[in-house]
Formats: sequence, structure tokens, C-alpha cells
Amino acid sequence: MSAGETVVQVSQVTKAYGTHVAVDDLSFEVQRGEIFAFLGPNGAGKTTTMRMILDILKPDAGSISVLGGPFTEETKQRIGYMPEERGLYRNVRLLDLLVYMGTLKGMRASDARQRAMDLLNRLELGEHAKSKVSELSKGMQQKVQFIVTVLHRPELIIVDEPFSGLDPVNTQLLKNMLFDLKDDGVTIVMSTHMMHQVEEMGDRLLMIDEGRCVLYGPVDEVRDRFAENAVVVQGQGDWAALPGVESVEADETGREYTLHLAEGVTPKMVMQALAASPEHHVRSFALAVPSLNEIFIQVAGRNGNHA
Amino acid sequence: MRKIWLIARREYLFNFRRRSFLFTVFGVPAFTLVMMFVIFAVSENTLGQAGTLGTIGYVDHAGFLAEPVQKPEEYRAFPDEDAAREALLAGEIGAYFVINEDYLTTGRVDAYAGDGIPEGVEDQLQEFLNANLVRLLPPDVPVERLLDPMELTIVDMQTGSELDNAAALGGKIMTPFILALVFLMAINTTSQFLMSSVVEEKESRMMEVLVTSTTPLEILWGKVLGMGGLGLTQVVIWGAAGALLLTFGEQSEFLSGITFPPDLIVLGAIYFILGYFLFGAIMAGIGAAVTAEQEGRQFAGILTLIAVLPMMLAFNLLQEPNGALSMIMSFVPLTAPMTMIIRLSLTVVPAWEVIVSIGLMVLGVLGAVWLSARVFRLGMLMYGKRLSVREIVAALRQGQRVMTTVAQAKEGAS
Repeated sequence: MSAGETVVQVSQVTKAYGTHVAVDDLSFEVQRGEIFAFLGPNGAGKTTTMRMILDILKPDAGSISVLGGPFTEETKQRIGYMPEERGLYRNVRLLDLLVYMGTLKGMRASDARQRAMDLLNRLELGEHAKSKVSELSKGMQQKVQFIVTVLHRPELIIVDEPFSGLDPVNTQLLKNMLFDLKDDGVTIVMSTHMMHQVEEMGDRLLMIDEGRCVLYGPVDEVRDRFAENAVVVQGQGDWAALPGVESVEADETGREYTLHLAEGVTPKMVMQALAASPEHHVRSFALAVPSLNEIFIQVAGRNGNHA
Repeated sequence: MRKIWLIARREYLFNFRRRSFLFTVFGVPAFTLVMMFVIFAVSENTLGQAGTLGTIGYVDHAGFLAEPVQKPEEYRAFPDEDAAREALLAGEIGAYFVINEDYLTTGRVDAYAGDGIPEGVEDQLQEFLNANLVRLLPPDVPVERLLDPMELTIVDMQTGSELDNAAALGGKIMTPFILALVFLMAINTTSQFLMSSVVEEKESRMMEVLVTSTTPLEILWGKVLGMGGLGLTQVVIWGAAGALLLTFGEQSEFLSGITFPPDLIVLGAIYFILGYFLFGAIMAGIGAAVTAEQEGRQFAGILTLIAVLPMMLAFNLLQEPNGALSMIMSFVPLTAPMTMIIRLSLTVVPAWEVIVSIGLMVLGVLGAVWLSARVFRLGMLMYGKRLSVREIVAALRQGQRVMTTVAQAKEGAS
């Protein structure tokens, strides 16, 4: 990934609703062509931040620059936004709705129609082009909402919880489309709860809690930063007796043990000790890398009372 | 501008297909036409019932009908009451009248009938008696003078024009009320649509997508213009139905007095359009400020009350079309359309008043659209929460901040 051009720059932004501070001195940037994952528990200020980037809300303090400058009407044509709660006209035929939304974003009607048909086919909705929105299932409506977001070939798309309510098949469909968009150079800002999707898709992530940044950086780097000095092993033997092991923690199944190592002890030293020991039989040996889910719970728990 | 047009077109086409719109637009005139037919048919029937009683007998004790003139065909003289009663019981006649001896001084007539006397029969008898009474008067008084004692000409002091008959005066009062009523109904229907369309977009979060495509001001103008087109369509269709109604109504004296002079139509149209924009913009603003349509309707009700104020004060307007109250209500944008329509059809309004009133309305419209766009921008994000007055004031202040942002953007671009 080319760590070059900054597409979104948020600098020391604060937003309060009355006495409740929704976003508190938040700074980050999104770079061109990346999938930027935006994490945080409910009510952390994700949607507020997105709305400020989109100029729906004005920040109380701080500044935001989007696509190389302050937000203008012209910027709107280069951005696609999929709000968390989906909004579509209900009693309108699908294709008419899409053409209307496309033309509002500055497309020519004929172009909008062609591209809408193309996207409908790609998301397996082609046969419903003449149906009314109200006749579609929830999952289908969500895909339509996604088409509205990307119809006008935006450079930057901001999607709020894109996969919520989708079945695995449709989730995969949408994921593939996001990857395709990324390949075409589109920058994607995606908010989500689902950690495994961040791990699978995200290049960089920002996690906020109570409006403040708690984690920010490349996904791999964040995981490494939270990696404890520990190894996970399976097998038989008295793990606590190994040199350098401070404590042993068994998982729920009793088959896997996490060995927490004393300071200065590397996993390599434990491996050598194991290899030399006749009392230990090792079936698997791995570095203890926490999942983002664990990090999420750990960080969110440290900051407040979230489960 | 292109986006305003796109939004206007969508609002027009979408709402035109609404069932409630189609019902109002075609159903109301159709219903009115049917009702008119029924009323005509029924009244024709009542008047024509003279014949349904069959032969009608009369007994003349006053002695002035020995050689009657203008005797209706079905009238039959009886020498005494017994003969008449027998004929009635035998079903030979449907009713009989007894003209008492002292008729010339008291006017007493007794009627006997199986099922009452229809009004038409009464009128007929009266004409018959009148015609014969005239013979008792000096011979130079023609019969017609008694039957139709006056040919009234009303001279309007305000306009100096002469009105041929009483029906014209009725029509003169009817004209502004019909116009005002059409105006009120058209504005009510479409601005309700406007409000519910805003509420719907807010509830469905469509607004967030719209506002990241265009500006609140463009959305609002698009909606107001689209719905205004819809309101005009409605009025044109109603106008056509009204013209049809008047063609039928020419037989009726009452409706024949209704006229629409061209200058009234032109000014009426201007007031209609401006009034529509004003109410539309305010309704959209209300839609943006409330959480549910139900709640919006309550506010809309208050607005409608203000709009019909001129109708409620119509008596004062009729008495003093150029009085102080009339003038004030002509200058307040909310009441101006109705007041002016009523005044213009009653009297000659000074030109400067019309100009000032229209000027103030234009300002009112621009102000209302601008203000609603501000409320809109704030309101669309306040889900599940009604806007307080303080927040609305804050939204208005924010307008200045938005403008500086745009100015900065321009600096940045150059």
C-alpha cells in the first residue's frame, strides 16, 4: 500500500450534544486506496464522526479536510455514504430510485441507468429492477443501499456497519465488491463491530471509545502491540515447571494452555527447553497473538464499564 | 438548479400517483358534480309536482272566480264543499282549495288533500288567484306588474357598475368565497404532502443520503416547486370541473351571477402561487422539526387556522373591503392571499396596496424557505426528538457559520 496521499484528515475535532461530549479531541487520517476500519462500542461517537466528515454535522472545534480541502458541494459528488440506518424510498421502483439517486450525484440519466443495471446484476438483484423497494427483503434493501452508495463511482466511500443484517452469502458478495472497489483505487472507511472482518479486510484501524481515540494504526501493528509475552501450547507435561514460565492458564477445553513468560524470556527459549525436555510432548506451539476481539474487550473494558 | 429540477420532478410524479391525491383531485369535483345533479333533479321534481296531484278542485265562496282568467288546465271548479269532498274521496281529484267568503279581506284559503300540498301547487294557486285579483284593480294596471312587482337594479358605489338583478349580488359574494375555498383546499392537500414527505425522509433516513448529494436549500426548493406544480395541477383540474359546473348552472339563477374577470384570475394566480410557496415552505420546516407526522398535523392545524382567518372575518371584509382590518390582513403574508382574493372580487383595491402586499409576500416566501432550510438541516439529524425553540434559534445562527465556511472554501479553491 502506498502510504502517500491523505484523503481524510481529522484534526483535534470535538463535538458535544448539550453536555454530552460525543467526540473529544479526535485526530486521525485516512489514506488513499486503503480500507480504514472504524471501531468502537455503541455510542462511542463513530456515526457522529462520520457525519462530521460528510459535513452533515459541524464540529464544535477542530478541522476536517476531505479529498484535499474543505468540504464543498463538489466534494459530495466524489463521496458515497451508506448510513447506519438504511434509508430508501419505499414505493418506488428499484431502477427509478437508483437513476434518481445517480442523477442527484451529477450523473447523466443514461449512464446512471446502465451502471445501476450492471451493479444490480452483480449483486444478484437484476431480476428485481422493476420491483418496488417495499417488495424486497431486508437483505436485498441493504444491497440496494450499497448500490446507491457506489453508483456514481465515488473516490471515497463511507459505510456504516455495511454487513449488519446480511446472511453469509450476501456478506461474501458485498465483501468481494469492497475488495474490487479497493483494487480500483477507491478509499473505503468502514465502521463495524465485527472484529474478524477488520482482521480480514482492514488495512488500518481506528478504535474510539467515549469519543476518544484508544487504538490507531495498521491492523497488524495493533495486534503485535497487544501481543503479550506468551505462547500457546497443546500437549502433555508440567508446563509450569519449564524455566521462564511465570504462570499457566488453561482454556475452557483444558487442551490448550497459555504460558505467560517472565521478562527477558523469549518464546524461542521456551521452545528449546521443550525440545530438550523428555517429560513434555508438544502437539502445537504458537505465539499468543490476541484477536482484535480480545483487544476490543480489553481496551473498551479498561476505559469504562462496557462488556 | 439541475438538482432542484430533479427533486421537483420526482416529488411531482411520485405524489401525483398517490391515491389520496387522485381522490382529492378527481373525486372532489366528481362528487360535487354528482351532488349538483342530484340537487337540480330534486328541485326540478318539487317544482314539477303540480301535475302529480292530478286534477285539483276549488270552491269559490268569495265569488270573484266566476269567469276565471289564466286557469290552469287541471283546475276544476266545484259548486260546494260536499261535491269537492266526494270527488277527493272518490279519487277524481288530488286536492281541493276552499276560498273563503272573507278572502278579499283576510286572504283565507283552506286546502284539503290526501298527502299534503307540494310547494309547486301552492305557487300555482297563488298565481291563479293573483291573476284574477288584478281584474278587480283599475284596468290600466297590467297583470304582470302584480306578479312581478319590481325590476331591481343595484348600483355598486365602489365600482360604479350596475348589477342587473339580485342574483348578481349573490354571485359577487360567491366568487371570492369559491376562489378562497379552492385556494385553501389546494394548499392544504399539497402542503400536507410536503410535510409528510419530509417526515418520511427523516424517518427513513433517506435525508442523510440526500443531504450528502445536494444542499438542504436545493432539497427544499425542489420539494416546494414540485408540490407547487402539483397544487397548480389540482387547481386547473378543479377549474375545468368548475367551468363545467357553471355551464350546467346557467339554468340556475343563483349560480349564473358567478363571474371570474380576467384581472382577478391573474392576480388570484399570483397570490395562489406565492401563498402556496409560503405555506409549503413553512410546512416543510414543521416537518423537519417534528418527529412524527401526527405531531406535525397539529402544528399544521394552527397554520390553517391563520390562513382561514380572513374567511372567519369575512363579514368585516364584506362591509369594509378597504378598511383598516382588510389592509392589515393584506400585508401579513399568511393572510394576504385569501384577504386579497376576497377584496379584489368585491372592490377596487388601490394598486400600491397590491404591489406592497405582493412584495411582502415575496419577501415572506424567501424568508420562509431560507428559515425552513436551516431548521431542516438541524432537524433532520435530531431523530426522536422535537426541536426546541432554542435549537431553532441556534440553527439560524449557524447559518452565518455555514456561509463563512463556503466563503473559505472559495478562497481555498482559488
